[in-house]
Amino acid sequence: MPIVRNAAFALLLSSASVLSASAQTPLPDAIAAPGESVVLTLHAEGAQMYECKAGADGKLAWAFREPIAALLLDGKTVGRHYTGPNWEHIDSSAVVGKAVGNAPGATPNDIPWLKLTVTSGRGTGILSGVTTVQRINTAGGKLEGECDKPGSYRNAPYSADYVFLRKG
Amino acid sequence: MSFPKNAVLTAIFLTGSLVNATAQTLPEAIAAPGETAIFTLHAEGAQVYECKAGADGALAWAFREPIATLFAGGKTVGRHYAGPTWEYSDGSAVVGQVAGTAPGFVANDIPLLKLNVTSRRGTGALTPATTVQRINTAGGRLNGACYKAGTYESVPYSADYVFLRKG
Repeated sequence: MPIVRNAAFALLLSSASVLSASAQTPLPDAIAAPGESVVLTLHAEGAQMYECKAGADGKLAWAFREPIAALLLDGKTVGRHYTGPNWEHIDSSAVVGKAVGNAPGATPNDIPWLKLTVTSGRGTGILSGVTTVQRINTAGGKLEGECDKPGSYRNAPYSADYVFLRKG
Repeated sequence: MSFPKNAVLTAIFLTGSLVNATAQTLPEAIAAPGETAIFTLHAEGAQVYECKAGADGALAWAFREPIATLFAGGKTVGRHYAGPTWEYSDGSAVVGQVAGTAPGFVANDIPLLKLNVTSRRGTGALTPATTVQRINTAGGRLNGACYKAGTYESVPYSADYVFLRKG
């Protein structure tokens, strides 16, 4: 009965991905969104981009400039994440967020987990009505230290999952 | 006489960047004779690979799509993504199809490309473009075996994209 077996397997797989996206071990308090429900979770693959700039002490160091990532769901590219920070779905709905909380990544090379409050939206679609975005399961993306040439750029590859939530 | 001095300096910079972008000798495979550069945008981002079974059944990294920010004069002016698509902040966008390739500078650099524009949307700076060249590539390459089908790997790269029009 391969069909039944596959169905059971598929059910297991989708439970597993729901678990890892939202119901896994509780998120750190700083990025939790109590009372909000998950609309959608998208996987991101891309880069965190840094620019060589003089810091407050006058020394040249890598400063975060902007993110750029493809947003993926079930093996399909369904949107993009870019400066704003913006998340844009191919159905044309998009949101812009502002970080309101963060928690450390799993290792020092991983960018922090974030909670962002949506400050504006455009278009109509799946992201319409989203009030909070969480960045979780981060891998890579960190760049620190001195640099030599002001205005030069460097990309640190990263991946993460973005959880889109709405109130209620 | 600081104004003329600055003007001369500006002229030198402009010449320098034109030479970099277009007048250097490009490999024949990606040349666009008879076309004129509209402008050149710098790209910073990643080439995204997916772990897939190849024709021989062995799992290997396969190129999936590009994702990059497009810059001009230190400002973010657009994005480059699957299609391949180049989208400018004025709403104009073009999609291209590879028509020629030449090796990158070192083995880790993705190839130089010539792409024919096959479709466009919006109206603006990119609308007249008929050809896109990818030059000055750095990084972005990933080869070899992988272990888990459906996993992704992003490899950082930078490049310059030259947008050209006929005539």
